[in-house]
Amino acid sequence: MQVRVSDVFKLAFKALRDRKLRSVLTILGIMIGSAIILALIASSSGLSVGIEAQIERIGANTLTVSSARQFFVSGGGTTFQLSQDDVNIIRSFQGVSDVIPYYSRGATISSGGSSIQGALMGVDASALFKLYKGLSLHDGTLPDPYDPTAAAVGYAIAFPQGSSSQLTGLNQMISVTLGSSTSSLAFLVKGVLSAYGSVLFSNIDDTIFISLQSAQILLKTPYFSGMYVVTHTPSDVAVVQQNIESFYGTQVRVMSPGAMLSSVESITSQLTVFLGSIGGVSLFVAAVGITNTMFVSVMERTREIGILKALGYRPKQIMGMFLSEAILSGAIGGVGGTLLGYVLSFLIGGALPFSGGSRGPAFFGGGSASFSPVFTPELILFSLLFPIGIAVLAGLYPAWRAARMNAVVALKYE
Amino acid sequence: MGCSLVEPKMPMSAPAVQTMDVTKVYRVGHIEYPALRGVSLKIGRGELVSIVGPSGSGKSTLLNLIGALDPPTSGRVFIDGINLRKLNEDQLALLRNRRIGFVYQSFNLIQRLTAIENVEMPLIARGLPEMDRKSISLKMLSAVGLRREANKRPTELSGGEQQRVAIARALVTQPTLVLADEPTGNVDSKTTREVLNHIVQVNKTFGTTFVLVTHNPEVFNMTYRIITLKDGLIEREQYLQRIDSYPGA
Repeated sequence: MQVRVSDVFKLAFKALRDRKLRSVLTILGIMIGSAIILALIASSSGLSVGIEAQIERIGANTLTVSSARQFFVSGGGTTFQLSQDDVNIIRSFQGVSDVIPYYSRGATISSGGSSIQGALMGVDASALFKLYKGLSLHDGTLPDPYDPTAAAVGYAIAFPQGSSSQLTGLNQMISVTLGSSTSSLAFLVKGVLSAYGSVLFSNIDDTIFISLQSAQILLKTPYFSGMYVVTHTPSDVAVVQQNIESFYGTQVRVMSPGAMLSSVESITSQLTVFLGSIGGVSLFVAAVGITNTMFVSVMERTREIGILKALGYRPKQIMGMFLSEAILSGAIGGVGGTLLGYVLSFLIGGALPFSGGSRGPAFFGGGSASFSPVFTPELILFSLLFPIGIAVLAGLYPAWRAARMNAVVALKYE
Repeated sequence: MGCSLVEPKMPMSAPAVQTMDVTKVYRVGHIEYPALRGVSLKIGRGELVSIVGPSGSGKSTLLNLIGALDPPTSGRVFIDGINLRKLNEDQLALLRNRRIGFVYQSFNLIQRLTAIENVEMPLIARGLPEMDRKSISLKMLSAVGLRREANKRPTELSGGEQQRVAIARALVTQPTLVLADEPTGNVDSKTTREVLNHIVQVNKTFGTTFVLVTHNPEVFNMTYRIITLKDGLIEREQYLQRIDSYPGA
């Protein structure tokens, strides 16, 4: 003698429908909990995937070296700075295949009355494509190293996002104001780069590129902002990094894509755990809500339980009937929460600081870098099933209480 | 599952109900209240018996023991020759589902379910498919004259109609024994007669054993035997008709 599962769920549905408001509120609690978990996990893993993709673009055999001063803009005095001598020294280290020094400044780029925030970068034009794999010219040519007015602009400078009109084109003048300076520099656009996006937190599309020599003259400094050190093979990276660090001590900051990846991974995984546990707490609160609702329900339906016993329902069947109400609440909450979480994760994604429009020099400068939430099948499945599991746990004790009720006492209950 | 324990194998001569020196003591804190103090009775198959007595005489307690809803403190209860003490919770539930129907003074219908859904409940416990359930339940409702009310909820039915639904639910499993606790306590005299006629008809047609707890003379006067309880003991037994007129005899 076995009750049909479909009958049990039909009865459970009728019981939930009978107490509409209470059921809706309980389910809402579950929905919010599971939505928060899904949204937070999806967006934080989306964030980490996005950052990792940026880092990986630079290639596993490239290190960046910058003077430790770079992060403290107002600092000065006797702080160490990188010069051509350092380029030669590092180039002589074993395992190093190339050293590409660069100048980099935050800049306001204007043309024809409108302007955007971006960066100015002085770098050997031929090294550009070596560094940024997949980058190409959209139009024109790369700037002549000995023409101080020649520049190549990122795609977003030529074709600003959200604007139908071209900001600038080939052989047009473009004006660049550096940082907080009041005077500006003028360049002639010789080339427009293809749309590329962000790499290492700086957005290529918002950057105007001039030759290293031009930058040296225009910025009036022999000291570079930093340099890319390319090794022969990715396995040389660790040794080269060690050699540079032991040679310069704390005067320079050496970053390898691998190290950055692992530090980003550890930050984002902590973020995921942290955000996930916030969702977990809200689901726990929802679970307490289920337990509470079910206790009230079991108490209210004491007489009904007595009737079921008299009609010959076994304790396990009665337990199953009450548990199935919890399962149903959990399932509806899980489906609703998954849909809600899906929508919510895109809202969160849009609000994250990394995907907004803020543009700063050097670090996290990526303007149009977007991080869309990542939904793995496992995550969706988890988001659908976890609330059911929680609901079962929450409903277990009330359902057990219902099952072991004394029939005679239950039937007398008013 | 212990289907085999409950299913047949019992001697055909076994009475429908037999109690042997049954006592029931309720404890509240350290104080004991004896509800039954040694009741022995035999109710044959197809009998129509009433149990009467003043309030607190132990009528309902006895009915609950016979209905396998509550174990006695001492003594033994047999249903169709099956010693209830030897059955576990699940087997007792199975026995109730297969062999016993209950009818209560307060109807005890599930309010959120329609009349037919209420009647279906014991069949759901059996795992009967919905189609079969519906047709059997509808036949049962038709038999008590409520075919048109099948999809109404208890709140939309009169007291008499609700009690007829409850009777349909008690009979839908074709039990061998029906236990009714004040079945006419909450219905008017016209409905009382209808309910009684139905009980007598089922008793005669199917040989179903009925045990009715009642205060109502109209009810106990139409049973074959009246058992009077007082202070937890059988005070008197009266036969109103000859034993050989029992349908099952």
